[in-house]
Amino acid sequence: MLCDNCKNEPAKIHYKEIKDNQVSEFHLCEKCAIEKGIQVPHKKQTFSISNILTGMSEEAGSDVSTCSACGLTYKEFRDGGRLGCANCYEAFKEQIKPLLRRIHGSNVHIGKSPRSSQGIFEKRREIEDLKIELSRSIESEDFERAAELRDRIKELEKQQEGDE
Amino acid sequence: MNIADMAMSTSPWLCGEGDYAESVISSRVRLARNLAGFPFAHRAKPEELKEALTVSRQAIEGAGTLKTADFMLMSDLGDLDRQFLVERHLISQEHAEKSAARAVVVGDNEMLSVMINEEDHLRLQSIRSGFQVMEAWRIVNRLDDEIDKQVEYAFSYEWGYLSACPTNTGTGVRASMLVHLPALVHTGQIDKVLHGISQMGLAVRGFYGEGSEVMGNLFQISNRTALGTSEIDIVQSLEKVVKQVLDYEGKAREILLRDARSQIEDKVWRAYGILKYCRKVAHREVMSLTSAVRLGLCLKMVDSISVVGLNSMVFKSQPAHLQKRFGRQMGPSERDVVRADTVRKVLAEEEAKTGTG
Repeated sequence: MLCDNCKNEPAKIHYKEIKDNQVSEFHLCEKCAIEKGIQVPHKKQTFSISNILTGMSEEAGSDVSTCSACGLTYKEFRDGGRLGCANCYEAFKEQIKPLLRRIHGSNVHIGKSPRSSQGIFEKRREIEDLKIELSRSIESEDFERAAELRDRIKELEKQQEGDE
Repeated sequence: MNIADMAMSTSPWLCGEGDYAESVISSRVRLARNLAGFPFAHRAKPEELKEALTVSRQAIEGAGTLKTADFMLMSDLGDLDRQFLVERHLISQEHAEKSAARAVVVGDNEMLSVMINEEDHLRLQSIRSGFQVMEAWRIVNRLDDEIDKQVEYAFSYEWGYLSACPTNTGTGVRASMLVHLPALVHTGQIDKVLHGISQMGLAVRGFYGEGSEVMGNLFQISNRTALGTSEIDIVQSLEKVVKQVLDYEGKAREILLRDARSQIEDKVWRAYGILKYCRKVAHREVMSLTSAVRLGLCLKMVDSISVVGLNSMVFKSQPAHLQKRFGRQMGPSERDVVRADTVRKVLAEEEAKTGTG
């Protein structure tokens, strides 16, 4: 099917218009559709990280920061959307944290963890939970419970230092 | 099983088993994993990439689940073979285009596979027929555990499994189902439904996954985010949304039957007629004809062909599948002729099975 307008290119955009209770169908090529001001859906819906990144307020000078392990610069990441290695997540931590939140709506992992880190991981979770409980018990002035919790957290943190 | 053998058979995950199999073609879960101590694939030097390949291969071969799997090095495969694997949903287009130190491991009747050195060092994939996404998760999770015992994954306590692309970081899970939604398309409600799906935080993709287009009213619905939600929750919320969508599709079918029965019947049988008598047909056309007949099957208008028969037509009609089956390179025009023969043959076999025709 050829474009209704230029009769030259194959029609790629098909749409219906309702005007004064009259339905008219149009078949246009991409070029004519754009000329007529019709929004052309993108061929590929690629998720652009660089778009998100440029849309986020950035600290001055972050462009020059570099991952010490693989040498990727923050600018390269921003342009290409791919990180170079696991260490990049540390190197660009301050920028990645809000980025992950923007993408996923969260920046804390929940779910499976590798066998090698399971013990540590569980402990870290427990500490976080205890800290929340601690602040609750302080709010409700249950100082006895707060003291218990504080000791338990201290103990776990000490163990954690030994593990890591 | 090598590629030539695969070309003669239909993927076992198209067997039409599982719940809602007439509308849900397949369920898939993939996990993105990277090896600790190596740069991500796109950043690795050739020798690092090679070593990552060796380490990954050993770990996969050491995993009980994939003990008898086939290991295929991309650089050993020609263009046609790679395209065949893309059509088979075993590798991505991106994986087919790059070859150095890249591989795919295919096991368990093609239902479990691993791409090595794609965007991530390891991409584990489990596909099942029908509405079986939880089962797919269970199986790929077991493989992940087995591999985890032999390698150290790149992982952060805070952010989970680290991926080359931050969109996959977290669980590394992408769970999806390939769903047939003809009535929602015919009644013009599909845009509204797709919009709703995206508002629920899920994504809709085409027949070959990311960046591909929708053909034959087949929509791939998947999770969009991977961080902050557990694997089980991701899978369950996909199940919930797909069930809801199937419910809308069912209602739209009732409306079609009530208001436009004769038009639908006509559309279904015309499509059936073309599949039965065509002498030259494009793949895209087979996709849309089989969609109409599949709808006819679901609405009990047609009973001389099965879901499996339709699935097999769709897959056998793909360009690389045809060329592999006939063992030679063919141009588009010759493919259209051979495709018509193939489709007619499948239909004739189906009719013979059901004693109709």
